[in-house]
Amino acid sequence: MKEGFISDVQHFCVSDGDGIRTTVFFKGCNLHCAWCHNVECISCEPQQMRYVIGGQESMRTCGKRMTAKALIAEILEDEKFYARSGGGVTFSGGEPLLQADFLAEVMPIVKAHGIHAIIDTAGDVSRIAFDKVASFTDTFFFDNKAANAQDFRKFTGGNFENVTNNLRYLIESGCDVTVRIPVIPEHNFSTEYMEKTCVLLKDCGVKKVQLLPFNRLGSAKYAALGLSYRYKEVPTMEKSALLPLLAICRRYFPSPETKIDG
Amino acid sequence: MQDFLQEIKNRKKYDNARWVLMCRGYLSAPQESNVVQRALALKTLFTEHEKVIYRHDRIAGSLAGLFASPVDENARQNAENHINNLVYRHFGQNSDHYTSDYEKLLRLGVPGLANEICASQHKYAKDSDKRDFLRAADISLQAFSEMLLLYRSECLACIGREGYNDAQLRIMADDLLWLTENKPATFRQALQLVWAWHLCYCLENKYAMALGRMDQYLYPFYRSDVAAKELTSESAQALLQAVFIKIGEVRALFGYDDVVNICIAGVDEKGNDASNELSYLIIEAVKTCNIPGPNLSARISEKTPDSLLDAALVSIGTGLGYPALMNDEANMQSLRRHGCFEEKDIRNYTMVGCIENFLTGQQPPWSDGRYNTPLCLEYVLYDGGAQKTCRRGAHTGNADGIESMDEFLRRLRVQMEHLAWEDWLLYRNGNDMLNPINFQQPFLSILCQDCIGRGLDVNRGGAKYPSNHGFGIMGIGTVSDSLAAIEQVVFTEKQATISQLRDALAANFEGYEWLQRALVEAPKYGNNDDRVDKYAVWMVQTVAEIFDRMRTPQGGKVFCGMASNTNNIPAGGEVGATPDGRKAGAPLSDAASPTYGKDVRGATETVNSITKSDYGKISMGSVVNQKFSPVMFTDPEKRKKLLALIRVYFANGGQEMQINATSRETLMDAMNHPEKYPNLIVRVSGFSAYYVTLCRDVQQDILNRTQQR
Repeated sequence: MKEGFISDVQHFCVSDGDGIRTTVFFKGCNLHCAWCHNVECISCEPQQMRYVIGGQESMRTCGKRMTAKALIAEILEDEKFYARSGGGVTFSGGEPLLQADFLAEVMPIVKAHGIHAIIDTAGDVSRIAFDKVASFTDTFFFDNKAANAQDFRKFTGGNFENVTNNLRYLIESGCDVTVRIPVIPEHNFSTEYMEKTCVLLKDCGVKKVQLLPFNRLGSAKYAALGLSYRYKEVPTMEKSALLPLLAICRRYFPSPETKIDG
Repeated sequence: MQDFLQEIKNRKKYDNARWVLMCRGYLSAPQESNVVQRALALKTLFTEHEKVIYRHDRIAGSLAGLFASPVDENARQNAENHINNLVYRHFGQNSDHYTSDYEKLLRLGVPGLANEICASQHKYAKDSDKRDFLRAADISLQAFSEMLLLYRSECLACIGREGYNDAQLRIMADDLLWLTENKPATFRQALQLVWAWHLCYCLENKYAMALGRMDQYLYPFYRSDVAAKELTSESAQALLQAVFIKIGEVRALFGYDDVVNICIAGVDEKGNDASNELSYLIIEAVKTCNIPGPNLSARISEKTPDSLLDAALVSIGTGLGYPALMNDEANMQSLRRHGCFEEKDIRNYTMVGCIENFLTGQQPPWSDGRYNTPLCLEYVLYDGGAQKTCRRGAHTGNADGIESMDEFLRRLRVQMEHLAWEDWLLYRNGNDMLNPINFQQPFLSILCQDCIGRGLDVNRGGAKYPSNHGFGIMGIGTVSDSLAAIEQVVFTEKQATISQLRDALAANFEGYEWLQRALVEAPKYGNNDDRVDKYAVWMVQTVAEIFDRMRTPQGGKVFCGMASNTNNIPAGGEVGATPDGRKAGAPLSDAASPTYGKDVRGATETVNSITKSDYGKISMGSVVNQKFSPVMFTDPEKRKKLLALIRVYFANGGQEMQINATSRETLMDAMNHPEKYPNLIVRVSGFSAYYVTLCRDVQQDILNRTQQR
């Protein structure tokens, strides 16, 4: 049986898709987005996080190996809540699809229980990874982090062409895809940039888009890992600041699911 | 409503005339029997307190009349001596915490009640005790009627005075006159009659007198008035507000908040959904008043529509915290299992005080005490001894002899039985001091089935059901966590012996920090972990078994409750260090909630833990405190998720949830005292973190977004 490398399993999540959800945070990511708010999920190794709370120092190890069986059992604990609320499980991270083989063990059983499953991916993985999980995935949350290869490389270190091809591939295969755009100050937080992004996404066949306002909630995690954070002093964005951008998205993607989330 | 509240607060307050007023009646007929003297004391209290009509009044009747003029100190002292000698029942002796049969009050009106008393007087003409009781009831009812007329006179006297609305005064005056001669015919009259009756209890110094199922007994009047276009939902809500705001008089005059339980929704006599438009208007009215006194409870049945639960959550989210959400099925099952209450009476149950289940107008006033379960852990470890209290348990032997969890639980049960019977004796002896014939409550008995028909006071067998007593079982989190820690640290991992554990607790962990750390790391209740949740299941089962065997002096049932108000704090002061790692004197876990800050896996997992126990056995009721961020209430999509959480909690047998929105005050306090808020969670998409782990400027971001209440 395969093991997954997980940073945390969080219950009663109310912002990661419809209904009450359990969000599984996979540890390990192949991108390094400058604004990342789950920085502890980037490294594929266990890490020590050092918090000082009220003068008391505490150390916590981030990253644990979980068997598919254990993870499934934990997901099933909240089965009734998913059923009543129209919720389910969200695989997030980190990049969950870096552990596609593990997911391919977990997801069929989750699916067999009739539990709705979302994969929250940045998309810079091999097409084979998607193939392994697509038939068990109800919805992909597919991040868009830039409108062109140059910016994508600059802010995330990833391969833009691969991501875009994967997005097209998923949509062409008939998968349900919601593109989620983290809106970052001095990057894509402008109407011009949003227009460009929308043109790109439209061309990929995208039908619905969600905007996620920038937050700096993750700053304490950088400190706990002894890392510096470029956005430490940048204030968290108000949802209302995104309204002009939402108007643009609505023009391109007039789905009721096109909205500001977060 | 704030203007009205200001008018109440701004009124000049003199001395409390209560004792002087009562003493006047009491001394007026020294040759009479005790019960008649008591009625005469009520008579002067009801009729001679000054009648205060506020400029904002829509419904007459005010406690301010007790404080309307200076009272001679000697006269007050003399009166208090007399009335103290008369001695009233206290909370533990079935004095207050009562829901009247207001449906009957409205159905019969004052004349109908008078006729009923009269008929009974004829029936029992030859029984002197019953005759006296019925005469006393009659005197107090006539005094009530006279009080209505005196308020009418004051309404008329206010006409033309500055700031008063003459038309409103005339309406009130007409209603008051009508009510002395007829049963109520309109919604306003019905509300007036109920409020005047409730006022009399407050005049008499009764606390936590419930208003009961207002959406049920007022609904026929509401419906017919609306059909006749005499009333709109807005005007009905305004009238309700004009009543609820006056519950705040108790704070303005006495300096504490009354706890007036108002119960909405649930099921009707046939078991169908009982909610109606009034249920919603009552939520709105309580929300608009925004004061602590009206303690709103919503009976949430699986038949209750989502729209009502949603309205309740909106109200809770304003920061008010009301209504408390009650699982109708669990509460009714907890009453039904005793096998002695009629189903239609169970379906008509209400709450008194905070959450205590009550058979509306059919049992003597509620009484309860607290049961300090964690003390029994000490008794086991110290062979009946305790660290911080003079109380002592049974001898169960030196703790060194405990070689398994089974043996620990066996001894714990012995100690729990011991403590239970000791507490029960304290309660019983408090009652035995009162000879029921000398401590009658003639006015209250009028609205208790079947006191008038039987010619018997509520505490002399007049009530349909005998008195029930409750024990608020404290510390389910502390006890479960302690047992799980003993199992893991002592018996499974053998990190310490039981005698080392005992010594560590006696030393309040000084020099045993290593052991305290191990104990703290053991599984904690509220995280859906069977290793500890099984002990909560055991505790609920065990206390129900113990207290089920007891009867009140009247032969009624003894109910268990998992509620402690804030008594978990002083009760913790009586308990030394406990095996969950808690230091001596620290608060116990609160009510039915997990130990504060120890449920860290999210609300669904907390619910999963709690619902493993059978709360259908907890007949008094329970309280599970949960906090959610304000956005959970303001965002309709997120509110639906909260609603689903509650539905699953109730479907799985959870009994009650007391929900609060995390306030700015909480967030500020958490910035300065992070150790108190380890489980305060912040969530956004794809992210969640404990608030206390965030950087200070980020905490400030969140604080800035949290609305001031």
